[in-house]
Amino acid sequence: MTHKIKIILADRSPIILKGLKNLLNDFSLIDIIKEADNWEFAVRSVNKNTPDYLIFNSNLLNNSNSKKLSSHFNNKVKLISIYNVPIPENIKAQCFYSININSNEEELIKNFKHALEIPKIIIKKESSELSNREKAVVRCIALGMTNKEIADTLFISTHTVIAHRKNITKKLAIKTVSGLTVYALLNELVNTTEIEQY
Amino acid sequence: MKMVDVIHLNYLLLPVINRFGITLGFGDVSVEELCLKKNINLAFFLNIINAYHDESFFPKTDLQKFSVKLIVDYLQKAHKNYLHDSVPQIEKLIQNLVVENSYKKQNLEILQSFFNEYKNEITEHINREESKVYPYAVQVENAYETNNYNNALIKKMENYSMQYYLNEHDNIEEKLFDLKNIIIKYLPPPKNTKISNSILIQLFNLEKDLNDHSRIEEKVMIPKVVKMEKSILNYLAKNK
Ligand SMILES: [Fe+2]
Ligand SMILES: [Fe+2]
Repeated sequence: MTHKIKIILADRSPIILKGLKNLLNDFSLIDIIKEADNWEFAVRSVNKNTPDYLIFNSNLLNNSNSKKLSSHFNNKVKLISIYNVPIPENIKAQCFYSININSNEEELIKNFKHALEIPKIIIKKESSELSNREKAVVRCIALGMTNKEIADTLFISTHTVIAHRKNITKKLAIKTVSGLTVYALLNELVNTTEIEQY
Repeated sequence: MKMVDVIHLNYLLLPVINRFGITLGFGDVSVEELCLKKNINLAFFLNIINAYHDESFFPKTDLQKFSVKLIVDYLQKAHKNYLHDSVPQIEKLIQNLVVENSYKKQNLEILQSFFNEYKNEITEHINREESKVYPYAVQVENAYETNNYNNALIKKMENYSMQYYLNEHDNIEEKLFDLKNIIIKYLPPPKNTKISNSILIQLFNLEKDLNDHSRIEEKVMIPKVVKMEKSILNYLAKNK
């Protein structure tokens, strides 16, 4: 799944463009290749760059240029219209998908994922490698230390210990102390004799 | 809808319908007929299986309309399932890993001791609910319905509100969650993958079931009993 989904965005408002970009960039398969603030430029960019999708605000269109949208393009771009005022039925009917951008973030993400046909299983860039500091904290947890003891041993504040613990749980997907102990044993951050002696 | 269609829709509902005394071989009978025949509260049954099937569907207020007795009865059957079926099955599979030397000895020991910890935790949790929490919940309901409060119960109510139990109702799914990830990610590849796969499938199923179970305890049974406690204590205060 190395193919990226190429998108051109078109909206009069720089704020909306920026917001959309932010939201869509969270989906790792997305490549936003151009942004346009008017319909003519959007059409030219689509014809030049052949994106997979054009996401445009329906308010960029008027009665005359909205009659037959496909006639503007020399390629098969999928049209996704966004709207914050009621969208004219004839525009909606010509689009692959229409999204109300006044909805909440969760709704928006859901709708865009649907519209862009993003598969559920994707390659995401995320690191689950523990830092050396985090490894040291895991070792202390496995030895049975309290947050206070860990803070004293590693010369950091308890606050920092708690922050480390949160990250560790997130990275490893292990929630309990016994679970972390197993992790530490399997990765030789600690051995059974040490645990028994501590 | 026919009962057979319910199972085709979601086979994970099998142990759930078993708890209502429905076992396989029910033919082409409808859900309604079968409940009538088996003397099962149809509305309760439907709410329970729907909530189990679809996590986003949780008719809290509807479920709270059913008697504590009915709810507790269902929860107890689930407990039996966990202690007598799910946990021993997983234990047996882990034993199979040992027999087959599927991991090196040291890792098998780590796995076994982690699982034993989990087993003790869930057993204690359930025993406490069976011996203290559920009987108390049923007692409160009886008192509420018959307007008949003995001093012992009133004392208990003053000292031990259901609210405390909610606050300390610990999460028995966490270790299960960890166990899954230990097997999936952190143990080195097993010699016998099939056994490890089977363990994981059982763990996923048990986790789902426990989530549903705790949700009924925390969002249905406890709030219902807390409401009754309050109303009894209010009544007593007024009629002193
Ligand atoms: Fe329980
Ligand atoms: Fe519980």
